[in-house]
Amino acid sequence: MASDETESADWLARAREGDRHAFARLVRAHQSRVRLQLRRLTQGDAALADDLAQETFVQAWLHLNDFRGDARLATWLHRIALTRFLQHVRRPRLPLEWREPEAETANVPAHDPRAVEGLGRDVDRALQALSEIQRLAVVHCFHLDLTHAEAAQVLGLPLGTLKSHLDRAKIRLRELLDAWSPESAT
Amino acid sequence: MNPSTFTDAALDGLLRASAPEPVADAGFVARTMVAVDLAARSLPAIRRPAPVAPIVIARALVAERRRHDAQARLWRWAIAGVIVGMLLLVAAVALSPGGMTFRIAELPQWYALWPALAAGALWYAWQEFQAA
Repeated sequence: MASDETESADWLARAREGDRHAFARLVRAHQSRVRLQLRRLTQGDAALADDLAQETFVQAWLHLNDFRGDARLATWLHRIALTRFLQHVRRPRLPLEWREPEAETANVPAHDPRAVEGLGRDVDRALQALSEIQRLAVVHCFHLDLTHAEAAQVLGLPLGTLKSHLDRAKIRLRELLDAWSPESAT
Repeated sequence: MNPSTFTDAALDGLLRASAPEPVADAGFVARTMVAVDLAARSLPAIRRPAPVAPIVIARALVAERRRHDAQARLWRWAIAGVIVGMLLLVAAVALSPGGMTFRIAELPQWYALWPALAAGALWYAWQEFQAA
């Protein structure tokens, strides 16, 4: 892990000096997570997500010298991606209001907990039952593997607000995914 | 509603396990780097000062040399003027029929020279300023 970060820092330093091969390596290292984030934001529109991801990396290349290094490069890229998405949908920021979703979307069907392939689908459906900001908080913390502080930075939220959204999301998810609990499996 | 049996750790593990599979590159990096190249080319080029042609440098050196020569000439004429003036003064005094009499003027009589000296100093400073 440490050697990966050292290598990544080396690529970053070389990319800052204009080395496009080094930047291509950074793109290769981060493309999956940025595209996953944008697919979530675009509600699964892979083509749009890829276009926005491409613009994200172009912006990153053009402003590479603005990256101060006080956060991880991944956090910076996710922030650019989110900003690019918000520009695309012409919204100044994420909705911060508490919005309960429609009742029918919260209906996760019963399933066989041993069917591993069903987990992703059921979690997806459960996520749809959350408000947008709760869903994004969960996705950034658990699917993109960011720390709470990093997710708060990406989403432009105070850390306490992010934790509050996460707590509410987890209460709801605990109800919706109860069938996947270890107790239910026994 | 019955309390859920889910512990925090179990739910966290479940959510992490449900993370989508990594997205395959499938040409994304190559397409992105083409877009990066296009964006880099469309940026306005950094304006560099145009290289100075040797003939321009030579002309500037000649002009500088001429300015220097003109200033040196002016100094030589000024010094020559002072010397000639002094010689004329000495000659006029020596040839005068009444002999030589030296008398230093009273201090207030020198005051009249000061505006002339100040004007000369200002004129000289202005010439230097313009030459710079």
